Amino acid sequence: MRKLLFALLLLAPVAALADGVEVTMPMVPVAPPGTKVHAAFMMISNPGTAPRHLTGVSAEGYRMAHIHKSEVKDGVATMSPVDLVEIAPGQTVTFEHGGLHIMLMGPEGPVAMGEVVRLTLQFANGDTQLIEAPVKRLMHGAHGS
Amino acid sequence: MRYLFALIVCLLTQPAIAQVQGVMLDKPVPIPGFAFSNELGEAFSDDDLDNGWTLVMFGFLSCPDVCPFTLGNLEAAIGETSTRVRPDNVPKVVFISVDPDRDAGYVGEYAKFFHPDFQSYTGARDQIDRLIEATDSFYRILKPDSTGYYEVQHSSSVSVIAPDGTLRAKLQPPFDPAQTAEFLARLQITYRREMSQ
Repeated sequence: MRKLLFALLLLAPVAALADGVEVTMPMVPVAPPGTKVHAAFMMISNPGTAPRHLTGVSAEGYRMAHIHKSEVKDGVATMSPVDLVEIAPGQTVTFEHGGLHIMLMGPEGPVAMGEVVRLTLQFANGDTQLIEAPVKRLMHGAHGS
Repeated sequence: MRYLFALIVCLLTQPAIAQVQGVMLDKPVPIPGFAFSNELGEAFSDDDLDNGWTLVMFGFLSCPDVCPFTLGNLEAAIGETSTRVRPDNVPKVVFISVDPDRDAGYVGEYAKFFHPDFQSYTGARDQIDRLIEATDSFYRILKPDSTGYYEVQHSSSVSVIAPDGTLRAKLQPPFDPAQTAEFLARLQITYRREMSQ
């Protein structure tokens, strides 16, 4: 019995971590005037032991938000919606320029520098996670970052 | 052993390929007449090509990632270029929206957000198609989804037009500022040499 309790105690912190993903460096590049569609970027890590499946996103103050992927294929820029992003245990999935991004559609008003966009990540197991992404100017010229 | 050699060749050539920021055309291509405008009352036509170098980029305003990123990088690249060429040789940057149905009402403010001197326009479909064809570019408007939203695919490269109104080169992603500036400066030297012959 004592052994079992000890084992449970050891497992407890792992279980707590497995509940959530870690989101780092969320940001929304400040958008040009009149923009009806823009993007949010971030890094999502899975410190847990089970794979996590991101299936959707919602954004306060926007008509809609989608997970999207941009690609340049044979010199043509294309975008396609993504239904599911798997984040394996120990893996970090980066939403960045030229790849995955959260597409924010139909802002209710202009989104200014310094404001915060509240995003809710939705996972396949029903979990949701609230992210606050600050609106910042994207830095160019630092070797494509 | 042969595999090792192939691997080394791959490793050696990879960075070189990644660093190509542009391609010079073997033969300059004349740009036909065209006319674009925006809601601010500004206009852009083939007459505006005469006074200097022009970089033309195609895109659309509902483009969350590639278009703003390209314009941001061009802003940095133009900054670099202005340290290497005479002020009157710093290229003018023009963004043409291939999506006039959605963009005509506010296209003019778009490029200025990235640099006060950048310009953005759209126009009639035949004008867009003519400039697309002349610059060997591409776009396609996809079918709308259930909400009416549609995607637009477009060339990622930027067309470089010389003061004589001919297409001379294409800039390609990732538009590294220093290397793009270097490419443009070299292109201008080649052009001046050709013109003085």
